[in-house]
Formats: sequence, C-alpha cells, structure tokens
Amino acid sequence: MRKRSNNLFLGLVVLLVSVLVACSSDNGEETSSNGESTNDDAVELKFWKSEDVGRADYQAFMDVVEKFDEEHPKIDLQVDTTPNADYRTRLNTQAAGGQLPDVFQVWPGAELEPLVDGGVLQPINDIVSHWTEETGLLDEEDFEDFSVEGDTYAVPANTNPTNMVFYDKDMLADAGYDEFPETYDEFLQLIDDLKGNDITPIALGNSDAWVLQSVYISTIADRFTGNDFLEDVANGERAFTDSDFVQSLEVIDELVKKEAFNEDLNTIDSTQMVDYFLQGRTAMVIDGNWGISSILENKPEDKNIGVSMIPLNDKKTISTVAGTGVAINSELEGEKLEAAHTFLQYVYDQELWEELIKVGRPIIANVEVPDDAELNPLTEEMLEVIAESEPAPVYDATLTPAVNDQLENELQSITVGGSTPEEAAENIQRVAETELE
Amino acid sequence: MHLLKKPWIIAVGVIPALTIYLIFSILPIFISFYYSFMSWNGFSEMQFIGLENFKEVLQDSVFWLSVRNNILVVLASVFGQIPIALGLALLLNRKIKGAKFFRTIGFMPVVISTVVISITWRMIYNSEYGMINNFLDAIGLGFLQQNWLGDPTWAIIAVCITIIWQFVGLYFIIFLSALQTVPSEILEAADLDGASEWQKTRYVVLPSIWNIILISVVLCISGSLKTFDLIYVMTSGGPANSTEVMATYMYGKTFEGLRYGYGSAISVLIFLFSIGLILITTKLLRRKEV
Repeated sequence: MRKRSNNLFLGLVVLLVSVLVACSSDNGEETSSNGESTNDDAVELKFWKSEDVGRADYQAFMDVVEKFDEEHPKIDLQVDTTPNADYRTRLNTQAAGGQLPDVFQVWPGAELEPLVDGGVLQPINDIVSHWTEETGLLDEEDFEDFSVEGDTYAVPANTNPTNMVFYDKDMLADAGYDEFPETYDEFLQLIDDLKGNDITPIALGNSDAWVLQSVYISTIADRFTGNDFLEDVANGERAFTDSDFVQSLEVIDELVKKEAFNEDLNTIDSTQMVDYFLQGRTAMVIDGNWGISSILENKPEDKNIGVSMIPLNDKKTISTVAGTGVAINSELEGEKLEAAHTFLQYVYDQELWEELIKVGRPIIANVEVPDDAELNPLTEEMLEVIAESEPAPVYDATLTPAVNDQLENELQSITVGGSTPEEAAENIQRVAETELE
Repeated sequence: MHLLKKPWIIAVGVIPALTIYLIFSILPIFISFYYSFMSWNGFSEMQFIGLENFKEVLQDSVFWLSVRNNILVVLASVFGQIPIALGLALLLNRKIKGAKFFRTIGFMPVVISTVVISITWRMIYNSEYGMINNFLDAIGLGFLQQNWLGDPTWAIIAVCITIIWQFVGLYFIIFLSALQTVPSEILEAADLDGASEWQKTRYVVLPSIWNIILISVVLCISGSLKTFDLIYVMTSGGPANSTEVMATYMYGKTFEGLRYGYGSAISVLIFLFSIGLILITTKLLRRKEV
C-alpha cells in the first residue's frame, strides 16, 4: 500500500511539472495574417486597428494593409482588430499595463495626449518629410491633430466632419419642402410639419452616448460659442456655465421636447439610427460623414437622399477632426522600427487615399479624384457641403475623458428629463474644474 | 489515506493553485487599496492624494444611485429567483408529463451567453418594434406600453426582470437535485400519518433542503453584487445612469474616464459593502438554522 501511494504521488508530481512546462513553453505559433508559415528571419510586426465591419472605408484601409503584408515577405504583419466601441478602452488599458503592440491606431487630440505623456508612443518626426517633401502628398499642417508639443506621432488618413444632416428628399417634399431649410426657424417648422404628417423627424441612436456629444453638441455648441471656447475653458477663462454653451444644450432640450427624435433614442445605437432612416421610419438622420458609407451601401434603390449642414445661427462651421492615424510603440528599435516605418510609408500612400475618395470619405492629402472613380451624387453633394464649411473642434477629441464622460451623461440626462440645460452645464463645469486642479 | 496524513504532501498539492489564486485574486485587492489613495490616469506618474478619492466618492450622487440600484438587483434576485426556482422545482419534482422538457427549458438561460441574453432582451424591450409593446398593442392594452429601457423609472425594473429570468434556471436545477435527495421513507411515513401535500412540503420537504436554500441565498447575493456584464451590454448603465450598478460605474470611471485612482476607491467600497452584506446575511441565516 505504502509503495503504491508513493508511486501515485510521484505520478502526480510528474503530471504537475509537465503541465507547468507546457504552460511556460511558447504559446503555440501565431499564424501570420496571410496564413502562410513565415520564414524565421522575418520581422514580426503586430498591428491593432479598430474594426468597422461593413463600412467601405474600413475595407479600403484593410485592403491596403493586406496588400502590404503580401508584398513584404520579410515582415510578418499580424493584424488584430477590435470593434470600434471597445477599441479605445482596450488600447488604454493595455497601455496602462505596458502591453501595447508594435503599431496601432490612435485618435488625435485629447485621446493622444495621455498616451504621449505616458511615454508609450514614438515620434515619427524623422519620416514626416516622406510625405511633406518626397511625395508631397501631405502638408506640414495636416499633421497638426496628431502632434503634441512639436512632435508628430501619426499620419492622418482622412478628415472627419462629424455633423451631416442626411434627409429623405421625398418625405420633405411631401411636407412642402423642395429645398432643405436654410434657417433654424425653418428647420423647427420642418420638424413640426413632418410631425403633422405623422413622420418621426430625426433618427437618433444614443445608447452609446457619444452621438449627442460628438455629432450634435460639437457642432451645435460651436455655432454659439465660437472656435476658441474649449481652449478658453481649459485655461479657466470661460466655463461650461456660460450662457452661450447653455444655449446649445437648450437646442437639444428643445428638440427632445418637440419630440423630434424617435422615442427609443436611448436604447438604439448609431448603426440602428441609420437603419431607421433607411427603412423610412424617419425623414432625417444626423450623423458624421462616416454615415454615408452605410447609407450608400444599404439604401433602397428608389430612396432620394440629400445631405446638408444643420442650419443654425449664421455660421457654417462643422466640427472636424483628423482620423485613422497609426502610431508606433516607443519601445521599437532597430529592424522592427524600420519595418514600422516601412509600414506607415506604404499604407499612407496614393492608393489608400484614392480608394478612400472612391468610397466617399473626405481626405486631406493632395490627391486628385482618380479618373475611374464614379462618385455617387450624394458623395459629391457631401464633399461640396464640406468644402463650403469651416472646421470646428470635436469635443471628444479635445476634452479630457472624465469631462467628456460627464458631458455625455448630462446630454443623456437632458433627453430623459433628468437635468435641465442649466443643471447639466453646472455638472459638467464641476468635473471640468476638478480636472483643472 | 496515507497521503493526507503528511502535511507537506498536501502543501505540494495546494500550493500551485493557491499561488495562482493569491496572485490573480487576492493581491489585486490590496493593489487596489494602494491605488485608491492616488490620482492616476493609468499612464502618468501617480500622485498621492490621501483620502480625497473616498471623499469624492461618498459625495458622488451617481455612486449612491448605483448603490441603490445594486441593492434593488440583490433584492430582486433573492426575492425573485429563489421563490420562483423553488416553486418550479417543487412542481417538476413530480411525475408530470414533459417534466424533462420543462427542465431543459428552465435551464436554458443559464447556458446562453449573457451577451446574447442582453441583446435579445434589448430587442424585446424596444419601444418601437419590441415584442412586449407589440403584444400589449395586439391584445388591446396599448395604454400599458412603455419605453422600457429608455425611461429611467422603468429601465432598472426591466433589467431586474431579465436578471431574474437569467438565473432562475440555475437555482431551479440546484433545488431539483436537492429535492431528489429527500428520503422517500419519510414522505411515505408522512403519507401514512395522513399529512396533506401542503403539510408534507412545509414540514418534511422544505426542512430537509433548508441548507441548500441558505447556500443559494448566499450565492444569489454575492452573484448580484458583482453583476456587470448583463447591464453593461443591455444599457451600459444608461439612460443617464439610471441602471448604473457599482461594478458598471467603477468600470466606466476607471477604464473609460481614465481615473484609475477614483475607480479603485469605488472598488474598495464595493469590497467593503460586499463583505458587510455577506457577513450580515450569514449571521441572520445561521440563527435560523439553529
């Protein structure tokens, strides 16, 4: 008996040790994204990108990335995508844990700064001349949104005007409008008239809370406060409780009280709101320029869609920010860093921008519309609206996450009657002040 | 048997699991204590600010709202899941036609992923195309329609109903297997004594599974205190924080608002609340046991 239990014990120990050894050995070969086994001397490059399945511009970007992978057998590119809504949380958490991949998508402004402060990004100053001088595709100032204190960290792929009103021409015509209203009063009248026709005027999906902030308030508030407002708030010279900002919150309050939105605005998301519009449940949807991708992809043949900027006050500003930048991990050096530079230079090139133009995304690069591009009339219309507009800051690209969080919450609170515009402004200001300290 | 007499052999068996448990479960609790005294955004230098975070949390109305909601979830779970599960188990413990079928149906929600449940229920609750509102309309009760998840007064109730639905099956199965251990001799004896069905349940069946019921209550409370995934997917705490529970609020502040120190302070309070609540319940239930 004694002997047997000893054997049993020995067996257990052997089993345990072998399990531990198995765990500590390499966690299996990761396959490269092109599926082929790669040779040993290939440089491994991990790339993270936020994912927007079904959006033509995302696909255009990924096509170029894939092509890069095929043409560079010496670089083993491993692509890892995360759904858009979760990507930033994942990135920030991994950054806090010091576990970032080699190259990864970043957002400009306020989202870039903590990453720079934390020292996880590597400036790309050395290779900026590739675009500004060698190819001439970008100008110095195009890099501004991705620069912090004189250092540049990423190359922008496109510009992102975040406020576009897409409307159903036929529904507006039925309500007696052959043209989109040119003043805010007419716009409010249109809402009343549409309601008179038993049509929900505007589709809104705010369950993720960023839509009212990024799409609505960024532009609406700018029409009241002017371009420098957020900067002045950060300096403590102005405050969210200033009457002009409160007025912009009152616009949201008024639209909600007028029942301009679908009732379930807080339980559907931004994809569903575009669906509502395309299904003919509403006459308009206000979304960023990115909305055009899914509108063009999914719209019924016979639907006549127009696009306009929101008529509000005398200004023609639209909140706009640079987008789809890719940054490099500060720890990269030697061949890996070289590979990362090669990657950026390859991806951000003529081809990417031409493809983005073709799918209707506004870009900042000096690239002509390619001859074979058949721009949809709606795309052309949108590009005209954008050309006519002046840029304004986007709130979530400018505010710190904590203030932005509070702003989004208060906007949601206004929609359910929890806060009045004044109370909301006070609550936002309170958080802004603790952040300033 | 010999094996268990040597403490060092027991130690060899326990240490690997214990180490992993300590590193990944216990140690982080203490690290959170440490972080909770700091102002830290995850990247920058940490700054010691003493009890500032706690001061702020305790004055934070949204935090107290999340505590209230969390207590609602606990109450809904204890007084919803346990009685319903017990009732169903008592019913299906008899020879009923299709008992197996009902058992499977009842257990189904437990094996479905929470994300799937959340999204499905979000559709059911939707005010414009949702099943509930359409059904109410169809049977002429249209005036009862609500914007279930969009209206702050209804949202938390709607979420609680989903939570009850999700976990009834778990306790149902636990109770059902407990009921099958009730010795048939005692039941037969009760029959001979002329006990009614109600008396048999009240005086024979329930006392013999009382311990299991107590364990279920404790499981239920601790489970509801850490509820996160269902609410995160269904409403992400909205609209306007009306369905925020402590865990979702902590997550939002920490990882979305990038305030790791503040979030840690919330975690510490969750920890204290949970310990307190569990201590109280075990004490209350012990007394009953005697």
